[in-house]
Amino acid sequence: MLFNSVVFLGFIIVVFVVYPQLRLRGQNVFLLIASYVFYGYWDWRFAFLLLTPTVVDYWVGQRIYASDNPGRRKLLLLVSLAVNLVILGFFKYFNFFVDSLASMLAAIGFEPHVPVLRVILPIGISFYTFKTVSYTIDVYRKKISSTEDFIDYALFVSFFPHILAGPIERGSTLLPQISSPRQITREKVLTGLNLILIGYFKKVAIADTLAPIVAHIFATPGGMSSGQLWSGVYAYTFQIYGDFSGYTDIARGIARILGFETMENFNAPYLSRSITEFWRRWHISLSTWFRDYVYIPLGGNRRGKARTYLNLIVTMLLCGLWHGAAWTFVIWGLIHGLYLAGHRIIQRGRKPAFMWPGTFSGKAVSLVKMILTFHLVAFAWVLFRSSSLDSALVYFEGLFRFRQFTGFSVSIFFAGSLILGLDVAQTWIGSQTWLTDRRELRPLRYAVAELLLVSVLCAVIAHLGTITPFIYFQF
Amino acid sequence: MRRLLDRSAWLRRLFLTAMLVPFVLLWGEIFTRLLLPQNVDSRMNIYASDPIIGLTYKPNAKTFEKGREYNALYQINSLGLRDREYDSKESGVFRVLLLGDSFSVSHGLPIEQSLSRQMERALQEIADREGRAVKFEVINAAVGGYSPYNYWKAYRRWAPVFRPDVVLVGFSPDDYDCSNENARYLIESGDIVAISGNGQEPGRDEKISVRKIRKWLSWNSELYILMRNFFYYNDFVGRVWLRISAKTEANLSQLEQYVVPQPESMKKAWAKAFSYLQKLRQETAGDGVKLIVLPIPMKMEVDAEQYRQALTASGLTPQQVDPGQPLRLISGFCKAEDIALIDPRPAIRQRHAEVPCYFVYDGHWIAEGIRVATVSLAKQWHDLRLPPWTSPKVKSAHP
Repeated sequence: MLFNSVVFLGFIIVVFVVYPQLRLRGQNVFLLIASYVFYGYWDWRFAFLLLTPTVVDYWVGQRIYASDNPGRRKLLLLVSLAVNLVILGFFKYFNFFVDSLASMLAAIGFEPHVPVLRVILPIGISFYTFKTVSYTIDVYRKKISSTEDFIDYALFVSFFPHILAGPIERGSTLLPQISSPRQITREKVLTGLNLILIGYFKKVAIADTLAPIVAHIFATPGGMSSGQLWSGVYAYTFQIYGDFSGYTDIARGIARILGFETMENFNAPYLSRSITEFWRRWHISLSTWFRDYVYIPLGGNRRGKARTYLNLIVTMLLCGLWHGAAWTFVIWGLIHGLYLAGHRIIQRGRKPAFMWPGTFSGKAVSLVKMILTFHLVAFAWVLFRSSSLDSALVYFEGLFRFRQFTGFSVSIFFAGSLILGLDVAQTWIGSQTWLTDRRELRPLRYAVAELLLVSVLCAVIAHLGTITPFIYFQF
Repeated sequence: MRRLLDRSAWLRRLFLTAMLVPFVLLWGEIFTRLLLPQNVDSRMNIYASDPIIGLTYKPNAKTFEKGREYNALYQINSLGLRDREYDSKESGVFRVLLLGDSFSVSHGLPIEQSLSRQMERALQEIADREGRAVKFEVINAAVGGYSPYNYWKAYRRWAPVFRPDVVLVGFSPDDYDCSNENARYLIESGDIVAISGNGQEPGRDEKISVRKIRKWLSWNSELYILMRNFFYYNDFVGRVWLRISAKTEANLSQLEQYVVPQPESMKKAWAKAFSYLQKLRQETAGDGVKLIVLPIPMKMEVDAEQYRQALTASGLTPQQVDPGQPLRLISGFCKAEDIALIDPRPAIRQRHAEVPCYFVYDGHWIAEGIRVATVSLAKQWHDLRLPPWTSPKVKSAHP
């Protein structure tokens, strides 16, 4: 079920009407059933797939928590990791590894007859797998206690606002909210609606509007002029942000109306002044996951300079692979690893130049850094969006050919300025729910909310009959 | 709850909302114009009425054709063609006059990716490969909204100017429905009143004042066109309304050329379309100019998903819809009239299965579709020994 579908509208109305009428236990059972209906609506068989890691990690979590034997605890952790990674590996990476192996063998003269098994990727599998893995590891590390209630745990894994594309909420933050009574207040409803409105604006009015331009340009980059290719880079940069952060805002807004506080996943990432800052602001739940469960266990920055750079590159390679089973994602991760390592090298030997805060020169330097970081990120998105490495190379070649600079679309900058404008307002005011939590700005807030609403309505009418799935559902 | 029911708070909100209405409408217009363009602006800036052809482009006009997937510069030359400037014909130059509608103009594409330019390159490549001393010039005399009536008239207008060796007609299967002088546009006293795609012609029975307002809005407001299309013309609510009001013909407008058995009205429409092609054939033959027909495939003819969606939207069954019907009719006509026909369908079908050859939403073909088509067409052109590769006997590609 997609947030931007008519079916979801009916679904959420039922949830919002029934949920407040129930007590805690009833709410949790109801939400669990709703979450499985939400997930199984796409294909009911995958509801059973969701149940497998849920049962395994619930059971393993309890056994680890109850045991004082280090060997047994480690063994149980390995069982959990094996089950999760086998499921993820089979559904997500089987074909990738088989195809890559076949290509390698073919390159050295063999003609292998590899089994072809076209496996359908269950949506959201990477998200809920990481959720269950982090729970088990946290129990193993004794950061949290295992949960006794299966319903609570199953709801933690399957909570419908988060299941398809995150945020990858940790057990330490979500489980206590599930097991204790939640209050639905007027403020929560209003701020939740605020997030939902902004989310739909980003998704429907911005991302879905840019989607056809991006699809058109990336389909045949070889036939495009440089102007079109540059337009495609910017369009996709804004599209993916609008799409993913829009989804997150809607998910957080729905969760908030239901009484849950969930983590911030995006914090104006395109206003970052360095790649390191970008990764602190982009897909925060994933980047912190990789930091806590990959980068730090690899040694982080505690084992010397060279090892730190290597750890950064390995972590980002895995982050790329997490996004998808394709070499484009792997290279995208590698590039970001190199960006991060490069930034660290530059930072290491430099004393920060002193500039009076708030001065023109300080602001100008920040702006230049922002523009530079934005473009580094944007160029890497070309790999992320391209259907193959060959296609990405053709794209880059055309991009810097600077020939036929026609077909450059100004409207993309209008879309970009709207989405960045929201980020600037949010950063300036210091709140993501600024439309509803600043009483003194009421008329202006009301006006902005109306304009956002009108934009969403116009976009819905213009896009009628076509539903553009969220980009991150494929991961 | 008490706060929600607070009357004064609701009155304040109501007052604020009323005050904001002009700003909301203005914003809706800006937003639609920039991000969800309905092409009002470009249509208004680019078209002019013409006493011979009916509709043409304004000489030296410049605009951007905007859609959800494109933003293409339309630079019109001093003669009123979407093309470069041409000098008088030099020796060694082989001129092809391209006539057609929006597909031939290459709607939404930059000129260098257009059918005329890509056709020119593809023909030139074959000639260069063979070492033939000929320079191809494919003149883009197509205009969005044209039909066979306009092709015939456009030939009369441009033949003395360009002295073409070949006339290439890009015939879209939806050209049957506009073989009247003004089916796709309405010109009154030399003034363009409406163009198809802007959603409507102003009703003739309306009061003059209402009609003037609607005309002004349809020429000036993208938001108006968006809403109008939503509520009436071709979108969801429009379809529901058409079903309620039993306007089934309009409801089937996207498919009627494919419906089998062919309704009587369609037979007449095709006959009329062909009668204009016949006139064109007679005039070109009289001038010693070769006429070639290029039946342009609509997206539905090569895209299974589009075909499925069209069936769902129309409520027709696969037995009632034959995507091959227009091609059969056109090729039957061409065979009877001994007109050469070159068909890009097999090449486009094959390529479209790998990468898109059409815009996702707009339905016109894109640069890749045209590239594949022109490579295939140039080869057929050469293999059929059409001018300048003429042999004593001209074979035809009729299926």
